[in-house]
Order: sequence, then structure tokens, then C-alpha cells
Amino acid sequence: MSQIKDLKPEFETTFLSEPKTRRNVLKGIASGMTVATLSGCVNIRKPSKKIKTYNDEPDNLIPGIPNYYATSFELNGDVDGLIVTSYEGRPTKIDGNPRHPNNLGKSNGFIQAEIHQLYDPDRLKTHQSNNSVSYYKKIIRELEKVKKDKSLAIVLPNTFSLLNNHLLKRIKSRHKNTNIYFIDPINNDNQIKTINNATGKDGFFDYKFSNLKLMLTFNHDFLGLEKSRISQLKEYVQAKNNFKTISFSNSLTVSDSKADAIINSSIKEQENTIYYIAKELARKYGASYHTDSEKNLNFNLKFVNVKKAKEIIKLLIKYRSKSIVSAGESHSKDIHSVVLLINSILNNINNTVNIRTYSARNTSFLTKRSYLESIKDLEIKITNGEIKSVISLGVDLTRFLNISSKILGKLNTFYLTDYKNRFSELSKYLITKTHFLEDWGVLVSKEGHISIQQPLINPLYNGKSTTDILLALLNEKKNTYTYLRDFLRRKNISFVTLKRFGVIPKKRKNSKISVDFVSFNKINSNEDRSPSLSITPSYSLLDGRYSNNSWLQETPDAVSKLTWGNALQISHNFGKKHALETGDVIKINVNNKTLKGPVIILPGQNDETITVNYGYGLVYDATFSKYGISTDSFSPNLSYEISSIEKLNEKEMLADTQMNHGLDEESLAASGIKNRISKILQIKTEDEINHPHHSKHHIHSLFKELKYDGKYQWGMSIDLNSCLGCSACSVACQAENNIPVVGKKEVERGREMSWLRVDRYFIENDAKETTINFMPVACVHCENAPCEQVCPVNATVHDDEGLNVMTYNRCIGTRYCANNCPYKVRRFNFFDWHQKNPQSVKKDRNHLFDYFREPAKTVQQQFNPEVTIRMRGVMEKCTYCLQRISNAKIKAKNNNNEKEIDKLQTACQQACATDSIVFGDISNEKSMVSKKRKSKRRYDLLQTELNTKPRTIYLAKIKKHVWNETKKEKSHGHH
Amino acid sequence: MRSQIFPEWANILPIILLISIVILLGGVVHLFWFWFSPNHLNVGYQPKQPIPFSHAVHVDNIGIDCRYCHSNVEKAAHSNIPATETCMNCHKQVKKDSKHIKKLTRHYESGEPIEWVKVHMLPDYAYFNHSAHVNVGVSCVQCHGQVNKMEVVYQAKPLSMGWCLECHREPEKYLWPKDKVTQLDWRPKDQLKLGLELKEKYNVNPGEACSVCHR
Repeated sequence: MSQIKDLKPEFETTFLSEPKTRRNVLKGIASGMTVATLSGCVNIRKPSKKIKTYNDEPDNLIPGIPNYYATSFELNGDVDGLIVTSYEGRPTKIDGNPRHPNNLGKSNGFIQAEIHQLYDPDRLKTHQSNNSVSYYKKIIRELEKVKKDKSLAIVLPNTFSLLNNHLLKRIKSRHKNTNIYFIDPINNDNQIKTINNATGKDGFFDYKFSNLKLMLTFNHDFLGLEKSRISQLKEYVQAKNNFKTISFSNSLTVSDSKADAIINSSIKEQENTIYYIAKELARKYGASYHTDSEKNLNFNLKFVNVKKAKEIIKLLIKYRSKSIVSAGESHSKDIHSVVLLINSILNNINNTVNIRTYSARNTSFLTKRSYLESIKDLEIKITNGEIKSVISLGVDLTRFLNISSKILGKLNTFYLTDYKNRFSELSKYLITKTHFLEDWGVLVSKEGHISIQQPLINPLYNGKSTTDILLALLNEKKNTYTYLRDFLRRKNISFVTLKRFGVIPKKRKNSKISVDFVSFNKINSNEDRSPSLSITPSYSLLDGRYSNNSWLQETPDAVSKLTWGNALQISHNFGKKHALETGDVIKINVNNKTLKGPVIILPGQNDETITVNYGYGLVYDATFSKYGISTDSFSPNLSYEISSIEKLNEKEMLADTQMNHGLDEESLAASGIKNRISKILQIKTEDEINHPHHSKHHIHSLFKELKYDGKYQWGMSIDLNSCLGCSACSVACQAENNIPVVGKKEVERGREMSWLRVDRYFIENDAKETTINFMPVACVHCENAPCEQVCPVNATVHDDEGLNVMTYNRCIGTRYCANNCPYKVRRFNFFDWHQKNPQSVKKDRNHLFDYFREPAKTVQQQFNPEVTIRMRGVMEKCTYCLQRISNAKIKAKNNNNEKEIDKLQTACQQACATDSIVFGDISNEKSMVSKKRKSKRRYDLLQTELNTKPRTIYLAKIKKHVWNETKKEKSHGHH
Repeated sequence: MRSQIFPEWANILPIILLISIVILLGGVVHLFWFWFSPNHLNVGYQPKQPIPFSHAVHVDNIGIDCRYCHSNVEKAAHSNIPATETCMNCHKQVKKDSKHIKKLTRHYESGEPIEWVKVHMLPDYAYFNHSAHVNVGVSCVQCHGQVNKMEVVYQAKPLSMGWCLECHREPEKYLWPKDKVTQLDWRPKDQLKLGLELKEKYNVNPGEACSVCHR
């Protein structure tokens, strides 16, 4: 040792030991550069990369070729079959399973964003007891102590899991005193209770659209969040041209985009109108056969638009047994009963409105208490000490219960959760929850289709599922998988079939049930017209469970187009009355509680209603879960009376995307196109489509037009008549193409990156009603592309198959192309958004010119390896899913099979529930997209103005006149 | 009288300056054109591998086909480095006592993967697909050189975009019959004639658009 100590440095001074003067630093840099130059002279490649090989080659896995696994997922009262793409064991994308009858291969934004949910780095990573890291076994030992207690409550959301329902039944039979609560704020309790009261059985409405002539809905978002299943959307749009839809709504919804007449009315007005219609119909047809409470049909004529109501009654009589009347969950049980009565009187039941029994295999939650009853019961029992320990399987009680945190904190709580939140702070034991892609399960939809939930990846954070906990409560020694195998064997369900196809569809439909007797109470028909607050589930965050999902936070709300937060939606008149503008912060008092937040003025909003989306505010203790107005102390589906409104002297910026890139009047006027909204978004009557005005004027291009002589010619068609504006395409694109999120501040600056945006237009129709219209716009791949003409470095050019391609490496970021793009579809990387993301982490290894941050390791696993990650300073836009095209072409050539080309779908097309987006080879006469191009409804966006020759064409929306008045006016106008 | 400010040799200074500027400019051009080109930087890259596997021994001496180990080359974009299992198929019996095979066995038994050093590397934004090339008669040798003669694998071709395009523009100069693609010593008698025939036969029509390789 002493020898080493005595050694002197070989050189007296080295660069490092020198004082750090300016001269020395410069010297160092100079020598560094010399070394760097010299190192270029020999073949030294940096960094040298390693390839780790498999030890044993896994079966059925070829590196670089994804595997697809079938699984399924329950959400919002529906079970959907899924196919998950997995690259070398890491799932990257979720799509629908074509074999599952509930979604037929289609999906929605929530399903698409679930993959992001899996890799969220903010998920709870360790089991905890008393706020310190603990082991699952230890917690289970604690669980054993309380499981037989009378004072134990198991709280979980509504579930369609066959296995969990079976286990709950077993628990209930073993420990009779255990309280089980199903708490799910988004439900259809009113519908279920109404059917149960009227038929004596549990059932759901199954609408038949094929013979339909008239659909009348009251605040029923039956194409949005209140749909029964995804595949129903397509059934609706396919039959849509044969019937008319009249919608009463207090705030526009996705479903209203398909309505032919929209009557803006408050809940109270709707209630009175429903009772009025029922009474009139009862008078005509007699209702004693259907109900014993005919005398309860009271109403106040001041709340009824008698003229319209009479016309509706006439139509209902005309189309007797060929109509559907429906009400949404924001209406009370009485209203649902009266609607059922109307359907009964009109002989719609079993013609257009089928009531089917729930599949007998599951749904233990049905016969139990409703959501509101559960909450009340739980509140009482916890406050008076009847319940001392709670096992919460993913339910944050602080959000739903009106109990002080002091009392909740005293409970002996076992909380299975995927995030930290307010309830986790109060809980004694925390168990990390698995994502549905991490554990086994078997689900059965209400229609009776049995599907498997197959794990795609080992639990990332050692999580446990609901099933694991329930098994532990039953002292089962088997793990979930073996128990599931045994369970299926006992039930005679083939595991092999389930695993291979993902689903065993039920061939016969569930039996129909008929309505015996409908009973209901009177409604409150006093003349009080005080404004009411209506809480609706969010199109982006649902009930708040996606609160930390940055993709969904940045997906604009379908109607308000707000990202990163909600707002109090008010009407124009309401704003005038209280001197409010969009962005003004107000405070409202409801039920002795206050809500504070910015307002947004939306056309189509009822003058007496303030609507606010549920699920915002601080839901989780996580990066993104902090935006918007929290409505946790309120229950969605209920209307509240507002006692006072106070304008505060504050303003808040709202991240509204419609004005960022919309092709609205203002931005078009800036580019010299005036009064063209009717050309951008063409809405025509059937008559106008069949007898078009031919005014073909040829436009000649000043530029030499390109020739396209590739083997395939790609094109797309978007049907605006069937598009629901649900934004599933937009989220699917985000998942497929590694599109980053930018955050609230940057969205306010108009820098959101979404390649496919869904524009929303409020248009007044001929009957002076405000309608809502949607139009998805992505790069239309112009044949005469204006972007290409201005690029100074040829970074955006055409290939011979008609694709307008973007070469990221050539792009120098002048943004000329984006400025010259009339469709406003090009997106610029103002920053390296992946680095700027607050969830990004410091990079392990830095090079001089390398990035300093990178996405969290888990987030990186989601990236699609087939798509380049774009860097800062380059432009990007829709590529028509070039990676899918290339792979299909290579596959077709390798296997000498053109069917690969026919199977080709873009990500947005694959997700679109109504098949509004069709993509394919337009040079092939037989392809679907070629057929769409021959449609009479076709129009090429901005073609007559700018001669861009877009490859994406639009099919015009069809409008129908419902009211006599407008029909006459129109026919007069024509002749 | 004051002497001249500049000495006489200063007369040739402009010429010297001019020449040195030309040399300097030439040097800079050369620097980028030659030194910074993949031709110089990448060709000949021959990293030391953790186990000195000799392609020459296995291919030339023993006669194993490329596809015995690189089994996915006809199916996938990525041509796989074989799993340790593949080596062990033979080396459970062959040359068990060699210290390298012992190392290999250790890896196999412990499950610790061998970290081979990547030789041929394309940038992330270039999406090369092996199957699309091998299945239309582009031989391994065209891009990887005579691997069957290499004791230690090195990069034989620049793998630059310009070099790729040489073939994409005139594929007939490089196409071989499909059954000859892994026979690295085989040479056609008349490449051009054969190439034109095969181009027709295999329907080879490689694009030159950006979208062919970049996504």
C-alpha cells in the first residue's frame, strides 16, 4: 500500500490537474477536437451496439414480426373483444377482435389508449402497509384476520367478469355477513330498474334499426357514452337513411350529430314533454292495458313546446310500431318508465325495441342496490360504525362518499389501486393493481358472449388483480390461472377455443321479455325556472379513470373541443345574461357545495342548463391528473339546482383545439376563401344529391402535374354521414404512429401534434336549430400538393403511388409547407416533445450531441418499432400508415398473394366503429375505396378552389327535413 | 533611402497563398467526401466478438448454409443472430473442450445471453427488409461480401444510401437465381443477361421513392 501512496504522477501537470483558466479550457477543447478528427481516420463506430440473442429460441416468435393475441376488456357496461399486437413480448397496440359480436373488430378511444395506461410510469409500483413498502404476503395475512368479520365491506366497480362474479357468490355463501357494494358512477341503473319494475326481470334495450322510421331521443347519448355496444353504431348508421331522428337535448352530444332535428330543451322541459306525449297517446290508444298510473301523467304546458310536440305525436302515430323512443340516464326512473309506456302504447316493444334478458351467467350487481343506494348505504354504515374494514378493489371512496376523511382514515382499509390518490393516503394497506393486459380472466357480456382476458406481459410492478384478492379471501391456494382453468372445465367452456379465438359467441340471442305493467309517479311541474347543473361523463376521461392518460387528456372533447381540462358549458344567452365570456371564471353554489371554474360558451347548450364533464380535477396523485373542475362530490346522471352564480374577477385560458387548425370561416377568409363553410362541410338533402348542379369548370394547374404510375394508387374516403366524431381514429393514430403529447400550454399555442383531427362545426339548419357536425381531417395527400411546391429542400415529395411523403432527415424546419397547406394538417416539432414530457427521465449516457432526456423506459416499450420517432425541428403529418402499406406490399410479394393488399387497413380505419374511413387502392376497381369514390355524395375538399386533387375524398352528410314548416318552405323555394 | 517594405520573396507569397487555399479547400472537400463517407468510416469495421466465431470454418470448411443459423432471413425484415441453442445443436458434441465452446456452454447453461457486437448497422429511419431482398434473388454476398471467407466478420460494403440506390436503379446488375443466393462463391457467366431475365421473372421493380425505405 505504501508503495502506491508514494508514487508520483508520471507527468507533473495534466490537463485535469491544471487550473481551469480560459486558456486551458480552450486548449482542452482544441485537443479534444483533434482527437475527434483523428478518430475519424480509422473505422471506429460509436456507439458500438450489442445484440443479445435468445438462449432458447421461443416458439412462434420471429424477431421483428409482431404476434397477435386475443384478449378482452370491459368498459362502461360493455365487453369488447380485443386483439393486441405484441413485438417480442411487449404489447404495443390494442385493436378490436373481429370475432367478438359486440365490437366486430372495432374499438374506441378508451380501448386505444389502454396501452398507454399499461406503461404509465406513474402507476403504483410497490405494495404498501402504513405508508411503507411491504410484501403482498404480509398484507394477505392481515386480510385473513378481517375476512370473516361482519364489519367488512368489499367495494368494487360493476363487473362482467364471469370469474369474479362466481368468486363473489362463493364469498357471499361462505361469509353471509360480508357486505358487497358495486360502486360505479357511470351506469344505467335507471334503465335497469325501470325494466326490472315493468317486467320483473333484468334486461336491457336492444334496438332494431332495420325497419325503423322514427327515432325520438331525450338526452340520450345512445351513439356516445350510453351505447349498448360498439357494433350497434354501425347498425345505426347503415339504417340511418331510412328513418328520421329527433333529439331533445340540453347540451349537444355525439349522438346529436346524427339527429335530423334537435330541440334544445332543459331536463324539465323534456320531462313535461314526455308526459305530455304519453298522455296524448294514452288518450288516443288507451293505456290501461299497460299501466295503472295513467292518472300520474301530469305536466305543465309552459314547459312543453306544444307545436313541435303535436307534430311529433303525429309522426309517432304515423309510424306506429316502427319507432323508438328513448331516454338517457340523466332522466329519472319515472321518466324511463313513461318512455317505456310510450313504446308499449306505440306497439314498439318487440318490434323495434327489444328487451332482452341479461345473460344468466353473470351480473351479480344487477339485482343489488343501484349506485346511489349503494353510496347512501355505505355512508350510513361507515358513519355509525357498522363497517370497520373495507376492501376496495379499485374504488376511490373519497370521490364518491360524502364522509370526512377523518372517519375514512379510521377504517381498516385494504386498497387495490393502480395509482396513488386521496384514498390511498387514508388506506392502511395498498396493493398494486394489475392492468388488464397483465392478468388472466374470463368475461361474459350481457348478450352472453364469453371472452377471455389473456395476459400479454408479466405484471410490470408485481401487481395483483381483483381475482387474486378474491381468491385470497376464499383461502384458495391455486393461482388465478389454474383456478381459471379448473373453473372453465367445470363450466364446460373450452379454454383452448377461448385462447385461440378470444371469444365464444352466443349464437342464439337472449330471450325477449315483454312488459307487464309500467308504474310511475308524478313529476314536479312547478314553474320554477332556476338554472340547473347537469354532469355528464367525459368523452375523454370517462369517470376519471383515464385522468393520468396524457393521450386522452390531449384528445379534444368531442363537443367542446377542450383538451387538458373541462369547463362549465353555458349558452350564448346565458353568457349575455350574466355578462360572461368564454374563459371567465365563475363560482356556482349547488346543494351547499361550490363549483369554481371557467365557462365556455357553446352553441346548442340549453339556456337554463350548465353542463360540466365528470372525471376531471385531481383524481390521482400523478403527473397529469390535475386539470379541470372536479365534480367528485356530485353524481353524474343527476340534475342539480343551482342556487347562486357569482362571477369572479379571473380569467383562465382554455386549451381549445377547434380554433387552432379548423377550416372555419375566419381562417379560410385569411387565405382568401370566403363564405365557404358550406363547401367545406357539405350537407345535402337526398334530392340535391340525386339531382346535382353540374357546374364543372376545368382548372388548369400552373405547375407541371405529376404522373402516378405505381402499381398501387392509395386513396381514402371519409363518410361524413356516418362519422360520429368520437375521436377513436385520432387516438388510434396516436398509438400507431408514436405521436407525442405537448401539454396544455402548448395546445393553447396551437402546437398539438395529433395527425388526425376531428373538426366540429355548429351549423344552423333550415328549421333554425343548432346542429353539430363533425369532420375528421388528416393529410389528404393532394396530387398537386401545395406543400411540395414550397419546400426548399425537397423534404416533402410524392412517390409513384400517390403518397405525399415526408422525409424527416431532409427537413430543416422552415415550416413553409405547413403555412401553404390549405387543410392545416401539418404538425411541427417545436421541441423534442418526448424529452419535454414531464414523465421523461434523464438519459443514462450522454454524448456531446445527444439528447439529455428520454421517455421513461416503460413508455418506450409502447413505441411502434415500424415508425420513426421524429426529432425536434422537423415537420410531420399523416402518412396513410406507410409502415402498414410497406409491410403489406412486402408480404404480398413474398407470398405472391394480392389478398394482403385487400386486408390492408390504416390505424384510423381499423378503429372506426362505423366504417366511415375506408382506405385502399383506387386503381383497383373492385376495392371498397374505389366504390366509395363513385358515390354521388362524393366531394373533394377545396378541389374547385385550389385544384389540389386530394386523394382523400369526403362523402357529404345527408340532411332530412322533419318539421312540416321547413318542408313546405323548402318546396316553395325550389319551384 | 528607405528600403522596400516587403522583401523580394514576398512576390511569390500570393501564389503560395493561392496554392495553400486550394489545397486547404481540397482537403476540406476530401475530408467530407472521403474521410467522412461510410466508405471510409464503415467499410472494414471489424469488431472483436465475445466468442471468435469463424464464418470461414463453418461455411467454407463445413458447408453449413447461411439459413441454418440465420433462419428468419426469408421471413422477416430482421435477419436473426442465431439463438445459443442453435450453436449447441452441434457443440454439445463437437469440440467440447475448446475454451470458447466452454464459454458458450456456460452461457447456454446459465441463460445469460451472449452479447455479440453488431457489425452491419443501418440508421433507425431506414427500414431495410431482408425477406424482400432475399426472396427476389439478391444474394447475401451483395451486401455482406464473402462472409464465407471471413475469419472475423467485417463490414464489406458501405451500406450508404447512394450505394443502396445503385442497385435499386439497376437491379439487373446484381440479381441471381433464388436458389443461388446463399452460395457465396457462385458467379454468373453473364450477369446482365441473367439479371434482365430474372428481373422479368421475379417481377423486380424496386422503387426509388423515399417511402420505399423510410417511414
